Amino acid sequence: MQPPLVEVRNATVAYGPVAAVVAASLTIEAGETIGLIGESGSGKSSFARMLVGLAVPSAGQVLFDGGDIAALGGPALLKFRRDVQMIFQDPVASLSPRMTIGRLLAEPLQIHGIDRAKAWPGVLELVRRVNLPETILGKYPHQVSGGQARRVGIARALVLRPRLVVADEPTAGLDVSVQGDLVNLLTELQRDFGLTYLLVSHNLNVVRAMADRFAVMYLGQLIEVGPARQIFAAPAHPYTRALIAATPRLDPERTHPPALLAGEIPNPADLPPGCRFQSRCPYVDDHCRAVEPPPAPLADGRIVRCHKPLAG
Amino acid sequence: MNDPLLQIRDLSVHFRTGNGTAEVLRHVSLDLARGRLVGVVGESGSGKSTLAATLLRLLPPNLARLDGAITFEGRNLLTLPPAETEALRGTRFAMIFQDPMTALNPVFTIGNQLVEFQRAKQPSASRADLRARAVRMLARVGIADPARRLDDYPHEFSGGMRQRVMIAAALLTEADLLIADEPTTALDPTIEAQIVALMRELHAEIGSTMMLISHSLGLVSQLCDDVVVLYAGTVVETGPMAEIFRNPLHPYTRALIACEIGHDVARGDRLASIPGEVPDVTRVPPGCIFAGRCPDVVPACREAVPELRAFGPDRRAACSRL
Repeated sequence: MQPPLVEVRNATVAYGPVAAVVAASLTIEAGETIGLIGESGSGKSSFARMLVGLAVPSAGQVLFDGGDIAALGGPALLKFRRDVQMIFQDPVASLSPRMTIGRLLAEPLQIHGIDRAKAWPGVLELVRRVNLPETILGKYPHQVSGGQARRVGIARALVLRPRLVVADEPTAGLDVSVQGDLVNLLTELQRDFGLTYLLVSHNLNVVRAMADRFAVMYLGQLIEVGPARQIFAAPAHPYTRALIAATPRLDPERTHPPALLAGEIPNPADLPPGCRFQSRCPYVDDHCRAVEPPPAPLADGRIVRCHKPLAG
Repeated sequence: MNDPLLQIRDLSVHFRTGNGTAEVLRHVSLDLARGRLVGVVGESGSGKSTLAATLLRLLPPNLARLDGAITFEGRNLLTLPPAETEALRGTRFAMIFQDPMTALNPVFTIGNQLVEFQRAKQPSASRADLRARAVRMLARVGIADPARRLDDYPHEFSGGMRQRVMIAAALLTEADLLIADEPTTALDPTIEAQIVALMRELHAEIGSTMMLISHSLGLVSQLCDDVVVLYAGTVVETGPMAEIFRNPLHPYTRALIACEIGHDVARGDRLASIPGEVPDVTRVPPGCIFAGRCPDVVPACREAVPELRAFGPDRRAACSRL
């Protein structure tokens, strides 16, 4: 049997006294799309950075193709850096303002010692594939529209023909009139290039159009992991349920008033014992305040960190 | 819509830019009915933030042209001397910004600032009275232990709490018109839902007129009584919220609604978008401003600018094909 493309085993990413990712485990099969959902400070960006090797776990492991990425060196490390690419949230800020789009697209080839003359026709094909005009190659990042800049970021990530693409908030800040195009494009590229995606977002609906499975983070922990269909039909963790209910929807009849959570997100540097969601959970009891729930499988296969799951 | 709080007539706002004159708002006419919560929706470049800035007379120095009239209590705000418009800000008009850190001063305590926000209207009130009012308002917007928190600085509050403080500050001014520009954009969904519920509750209680500027149709449908749809500097449709979203008239409003991702979306569903791009307002094309992206366009649309016409008592739309 093939190992999963990615296997995160009990991994923790700590910045000083605060752990951004806490004992997280997740497997990603080749060809699937995971939606990683959570609010600011939940650790979702740190989790994404850990997958691409930009953040190093202080405990636990990240395996890619069965190999621990912390142990990679030499040619194996270079290959990992080709196989795994990240699309950043703000493409203009993540691209050098002094390079033309053409040079920006050629740069990854240069870094990996790939013959530019041989690879260039493939780059041009990619530019067409993401629906950019060839004239864009002579422009600078600040001269292109927000939607075009996202497409440049996508093309640049695909130049090295990666297997795993990690996209951080792929549509944040875009107008709804162009957001749909970008989501459709990502879906098509996945099919055409056989990509595996980890999509990081706080916007449930955008990710829902793409994800097979969801991983929900709260204060550094994966609190619910399972198939999109199960999670949206019947969320098991009270936080997942609140997040789904809070997502604004066009509802002129106002038949779906958002369910409200009370309370605030606690300071991650000063957490109480017990469950991390206790300050906002409508179902909290003494056991929740004393004992932190471990990740546990439900009957339907979902993994949930809750003493009293609502479903499954 | 008798006796509107504010009447905007034929408002045009142009700016000088490196590429020529940007006609950011063109011939905007609107009434803000007293006590209503009005949502202004539109994409980037629609002019919605410029509309708010014009109401408050906070326009940048590259202003090239300011035409039309904004009538408030019988006076045209656009021709008032600067000192008088300044006197209206913070007393009659108040603003809730997207990022409260830009509006709150980081070097003063929240208590200090909440007292100063009230000062313009209550020059002779004692500091203790104004602090007591601030404590009551902070409690009202859901800040725990408000008397103690008055002595905290803005950075000691979380993002959601700062936005509550900002809302409390705006309400303490007892302004006639509250303008909220994307007040929840920077907040996470579960906190956003709390702030939206709070704004709705406070609006019902206080009854002031509110203008909510947002790109989120979902948010506007949850909060607003009326909707104004702006596209590239012109009003294309106005009317009561439920009617606009149930039965949109203008092709742009329909296209915008079609782009909303429903709660039944599943993996692999193709999402809608609006082909083309927002026109460059430094070179405004003749005819209907939406003609370049409109699925229903006919040659006549590219000739004359369609008027905002009435369709029923409260509804208006600017499309010559309706």
